Amino acid sequence: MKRLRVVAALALGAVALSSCTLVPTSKHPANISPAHVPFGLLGKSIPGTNNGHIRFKTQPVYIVDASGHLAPASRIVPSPPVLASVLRQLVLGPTKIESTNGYTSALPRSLVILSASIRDGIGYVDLASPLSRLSRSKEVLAVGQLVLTAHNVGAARGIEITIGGTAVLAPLPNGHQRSLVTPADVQSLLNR
Amino acid sequence: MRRRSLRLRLLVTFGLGAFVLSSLVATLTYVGVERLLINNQQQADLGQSYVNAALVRSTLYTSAPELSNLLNSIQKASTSYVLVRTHNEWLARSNSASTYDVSADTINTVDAGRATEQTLRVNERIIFVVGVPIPSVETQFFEVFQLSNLEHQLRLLLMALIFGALATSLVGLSGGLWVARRTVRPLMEVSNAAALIAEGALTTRLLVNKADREVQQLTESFNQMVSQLVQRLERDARFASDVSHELRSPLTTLATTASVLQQHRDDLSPAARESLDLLLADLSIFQSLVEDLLEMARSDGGAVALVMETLPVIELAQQSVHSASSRHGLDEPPVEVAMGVGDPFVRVDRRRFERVITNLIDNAHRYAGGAVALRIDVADNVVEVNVDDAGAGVPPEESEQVFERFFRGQAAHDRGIARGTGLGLALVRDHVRAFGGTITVSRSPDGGARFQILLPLVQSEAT
Amino acid sequence: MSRILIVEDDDHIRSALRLMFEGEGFVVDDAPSGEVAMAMFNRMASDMAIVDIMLPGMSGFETCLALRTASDLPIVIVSARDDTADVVLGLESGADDYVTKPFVPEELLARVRAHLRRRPEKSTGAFKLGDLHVIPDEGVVRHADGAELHLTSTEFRLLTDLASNNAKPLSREDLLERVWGYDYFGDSRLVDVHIRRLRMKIEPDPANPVFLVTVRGTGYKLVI
Repeated sequence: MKRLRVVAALALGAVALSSCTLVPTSKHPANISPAHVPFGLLGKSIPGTNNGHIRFKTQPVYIVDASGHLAPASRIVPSPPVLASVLRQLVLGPTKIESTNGYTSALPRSLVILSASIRDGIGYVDLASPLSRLSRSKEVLAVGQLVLTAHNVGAARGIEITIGGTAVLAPLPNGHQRSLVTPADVQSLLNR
Repeated sequence: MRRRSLRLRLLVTFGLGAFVLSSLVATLTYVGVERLLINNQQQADLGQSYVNAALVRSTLYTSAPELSNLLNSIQKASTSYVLVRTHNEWLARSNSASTYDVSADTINTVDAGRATEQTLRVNERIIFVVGVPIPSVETQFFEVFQLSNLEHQLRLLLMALIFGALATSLVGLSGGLWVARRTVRPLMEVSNAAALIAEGALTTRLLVNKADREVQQLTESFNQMVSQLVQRLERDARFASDVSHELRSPLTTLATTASVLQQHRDDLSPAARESLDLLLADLSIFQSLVEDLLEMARSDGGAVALVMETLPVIELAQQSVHSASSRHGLDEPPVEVAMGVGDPFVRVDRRRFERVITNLIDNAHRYAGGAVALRIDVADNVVEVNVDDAGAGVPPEESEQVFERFFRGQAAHDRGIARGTGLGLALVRDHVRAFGGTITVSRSPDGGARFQILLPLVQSEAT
Repeated sequence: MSRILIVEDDDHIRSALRLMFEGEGFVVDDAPSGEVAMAMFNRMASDMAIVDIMLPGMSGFETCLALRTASDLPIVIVSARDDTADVVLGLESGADDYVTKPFVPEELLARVRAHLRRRPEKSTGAFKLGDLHVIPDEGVVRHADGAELHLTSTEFRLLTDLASNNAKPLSREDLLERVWGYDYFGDSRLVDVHIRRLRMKIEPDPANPVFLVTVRGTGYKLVI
């Protein structure tokens, strides 16, 4: 009888041990002294660069909403926004949350933007592969995405698309084609 | 004051000592190792965080869109996950990251420009959260590490140490048991030997133990002491015997010449006759005393071996009674045997048994007006021989002392005359004990004293 | 008038004994040593001897043996020691009885008287034991060839008492009473040694007796 009690006590002890917390926790975060943070992480600029630092701003990119219209979505991009990086963000498509809400993008994720720049309010976008591979409706939406996104970056007069340096005609919602697509052309694509 | 057991004390000392020591060692070990392990883990984690933060910084600086990929590859490489907060919004995180892991406190502090670290428990998980502000890229970097592994390790360590401490305590306890037994056994042996010797087994000695020097010393001293004591006892016994022996010849002359005087009694004057009577009376006491002393000395020193025979007790008792009465001119009490007793045998020295009966009857004659009867009974393999008288009895407070040498009880004082040698009952007890029996005194059915001898019943030899 | 030879080296005891026995009507010859005792005995025939074991020169045992060789007279040895060895030795040497010092003088007297009564009280007819012819009336035992076998009075009495009991065993106590006299606290050693002595004299093989048989738990019996 006595032996049984001893075994039971030991077992209980083992169980108790297995549930107790052994690593001490704290209620509040403890400060790490700046001296201990390496790589100059706390510094205003990135070491090894010439005063290298960036700021970010929230920039709208235009993707396709559940109804098939173009709609803006916020992206955090380095400031001042550069057309090329903004367009690359656009190409990444909707976030997980946006996707669950039905947002999509007509632009293929594999789309490679060779170069993009703005001159005199016109954005010159050089793609590696043509958008004509897409269906007509998708191509129109894709162009619309590019135009409106570039518009917010500073391409107020519209964009011109080239494929590997060769100028192409972009389809418009009204059925016409033109080389320079303006924001006004694609207003109809927006969700009013 | 309660005496504590040495054995217990040794046991407790060893057991407790081992327990305390091992617990101490275990505790210290655990505390030290825990500290070390946790610190090491933290340092490693922090280091990893800094590296990852630097990676994030350069990715954001050069190709911000690549950030998600970077974070996922980080998660693949380690068990931690990263959350990046840029421009006051969660920019990106590893796949299984949860922003709930990063407390508002942490965010605020990191936001204010200070790197932080915290170990906390969230929903049953224990995590280590590192926050690093990267102002150069307007970002707060957070990495969350799982500490469950660490905790598991510590738990294992603790269990192992506790088990170790318990095992050590047990070993200590059994060590204590062993030491206790080794230490206490010789003491018990000495104590037992002493008890045996006190009871009269004078040849008892301790076996010389070749093990420990101190124990051997004790053994040898003890044996020596006993031998010397026994020698002294024997010397004393011999002295009494020698003295009595020397008295034989003068006593013989005294007795014989007194006898001659008795022959010529008629030639003496009345005064001379009276003197002669007194002389004869005291001479006989003197003679009895010397005989008794000699017999006592002999039984004390174990000088004369008993001649033990298996004899029928009823017949022996009858003969003894007859001899006693005829020799001492005493009345002969009847020998009554209880019903259904048969013919029991006892193993005694015949002459000494007769001496015992004689002394008891003589004693009854002196102090109780004579023995009423000798009653024999058998019960439970024990033969009872009762010598009953109808005198005043022996007072209960004297029932032990009455068998002591030269004891004069109340009855003797009252009587004044008929003095005995004082050794009669002492001899009776000595002889009865030598037969392996006992003698006690109590009340007889006739109102006086009953001296009851109990002897072991012996199966008769084949006739 | 019976003649007693007292052999005792202690002067006082010897004188006291002389006084006592003379007072009882005995003729006493006393000797302080075994040698003197033997010289005396050869000149006059004593009816009884009392010999102390502790004698200078010729020991009590030797004196006993010498006396026994010369005669059948009853001998009582007096010993200071009660040791079985001494007693047995004394009895083996030919003594009929022994007393220890200090003795009760009256007891010694009684024993002496008992031993001097030569004839057994019960008269038994003659009988044969093998080729020995026992004639109680004459107090002799003869071999088949007529030669006499010497028995002490005690031995003779023992033999005839057992014979008169018709091959029924007699206990040691009975024998002590009948042979040595009945009113003293006797010693079975007396009986045992005398039986042994008797066996040595009458049995063809004393180690395996056929006439004087031990009855275990009871005593001895004589098978004629």
